[in-house]
This record gives sequence, C-alpha cells and structure tokens, in this order.
Amino acid sequence: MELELESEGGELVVPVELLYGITEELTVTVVLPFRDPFENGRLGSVGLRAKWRFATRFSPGRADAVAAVGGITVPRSSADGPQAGPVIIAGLAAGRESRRWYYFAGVRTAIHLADEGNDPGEQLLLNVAWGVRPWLTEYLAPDLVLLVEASSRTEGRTRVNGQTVDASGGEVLSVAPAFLLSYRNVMLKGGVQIPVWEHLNDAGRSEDVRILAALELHW
Amino acid sequence: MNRTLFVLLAGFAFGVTPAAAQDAQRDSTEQVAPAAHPDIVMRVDGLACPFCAHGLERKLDALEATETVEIRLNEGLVLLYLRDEHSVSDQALTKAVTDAGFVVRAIERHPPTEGTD
Repeated sequence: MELELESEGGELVVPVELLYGITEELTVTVVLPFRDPFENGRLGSVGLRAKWRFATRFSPGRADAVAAVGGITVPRSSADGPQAGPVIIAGLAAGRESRRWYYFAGVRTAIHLADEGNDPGEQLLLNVAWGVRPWLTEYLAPDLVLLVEASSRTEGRTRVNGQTVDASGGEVLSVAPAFLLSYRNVMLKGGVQIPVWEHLNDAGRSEDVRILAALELHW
Repeated sequence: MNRTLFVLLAGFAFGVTPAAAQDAQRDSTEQVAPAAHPDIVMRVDGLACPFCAHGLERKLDALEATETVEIRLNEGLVLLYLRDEHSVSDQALTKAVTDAGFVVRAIERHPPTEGTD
C-alpha cells in the first residue's frame, strides 16, 4: 500500500495506491486519489494500473529490470469539474538497483479519450533518475537513498467541440531532488519537483512546484 | 488535521505498524536465540535493498523448518537457522527465494546433508 501527499494547484491530494503482486513479475495497482481530504474530501479520478516486469537480470547485490506499464484512469466529473473521458496510460520503464547506485528511466504516454466534445491533448512523459545509497547499512538498519530525477512532459493542445484551444498544452522540464528512507517493510519517500524550463502555450499559465511525500507499506 | 496525518506517517515510519511490532519483538529474540552456526547459507543474487529483502525474509520465515532468518545484504548471503529435528529441501528454498523475486546462486549446508522436506 502506498499513501502519498501531493499538492496540485494549491489543493492537497492524497492518492492511496493499493498494489497486489499477482506473481513476482505482474503487479496490479488501484489508485484512489482523495482530494482536499481535510476540508471537502472527495474521491478524484480512480485509476487501475498493471506493471509487467518482463525482463530481469540478477547478479550479486544488483537487480536489473525492464517493465511495461499500462492502465486506465476514469474521471469522476463531480469531483474534478468538466472533464474528458477515460485516460489510457502506456509506457516502458527500466531500472538498475545495486547496493550503492540506483538508475531508472521511463517513458509513458497518456491518451485522453474524448467525452462530450472535450478532448485534452495527449501527454508524453520522460524521466530519468539517478540515486546513491550513501551508507551501505545492513538489513535491520534504516536505509537511505538520495535521488535526483529529471522529467519532461509534453502535452498536446486541447480540442473542444472540434476546435483547437491555442492556449493549451506545451512542454515542461523539471528536476526533483528526492529521498527514500526505509526500515524493513516501511518506506517513506519525499521530494520536490521544480520546473526548470517551460514552454506553455498559455502565457498566463505557469507550472507549479510540486511537493511529494509518500508512505509505502509492504506486506 | 495535517499534523495528525503527519504524526500518523511518522508513526508508520518508525515501525509502529503491527507487522513492524512483531518484527521488532522477533528481533529481540533473534539476538539471543541463533545457534553459533547457521544450518543453511544461501548466496542470493539481486539483494540490493533492505526494503526488497523484507519479502524474502517473509517467504523464508513461512517455511515450517525455519527458526530464524538472517539477511546479510553487503555479502549477498541469507543465513537460515532451522528448528530442531527439521529440515528443508533445496527445491523449497529455491521456490521461496524465486517467489520473493530473487535468484539463488548457491546453497550450502552446515553440516553438509541432503535436504529433505
């Protein structure tokens, strides 16, 4: 189970992710995002994802894996305001984790299915991460990993009733210093995603700094 | 309210979940209980992080013969202390490790005996 805290457009979002490993290679996740949970708490867009780790290579103190990810997010218009239809997510991710170093790269696309004439632009997300475990602690000690992640998001223009909305879509490049702190089956994650370059078609819009805190419990 | 949740998160982080409490209780036993030499030493590939290794500990703990599991990440070793009059086969050990998402490179027994279930 993973519990996150995110700030999105000034609103606090707490996505609760329930992960279940059907096999050691196939994991399914249900995402239940609770928006503004401390005031007018409501459930946002519910997501269902699957991750298939189709290639692995293990060596002493090291694990390499390549995975395909796919999923669907179903918007709830009452919670999110005027919305498009479901969002299909597909992507690939590859990672290497060793005792000292951590590498990750991923590519993902989000395709919005039009609904009632509202057709948000497709998104392409790329990210790479590098991490280091400064202290090689043993199993029964707290474990810290420091990470830096660079990510880019390219978003196409929205179409409403067949008309392209010029002031929509664009590109954003962000950098996110982050950490993972775990003790046995409990992991605390934290990070700040800082936009470092943006080219948004809406001149009045600017990408926000996002703060992420997450708790993951493993049974 | 934010503070309440933060305290809750902090509580989880410092191991006050039921599972963590059980683990902590077992840890205190482990420090006095293990025999001088493990009955089985496994060299396991892919052991990179403690968080991932927890699944391996749970799988091996679930074996009836297991008394104590000791994971040495920096050496890539898993030490198994068995209950008296119990044994476990190589196949069962390999399955437990594979199910946890790792790969067994070698199994060594002390004293060397053929594993049976």
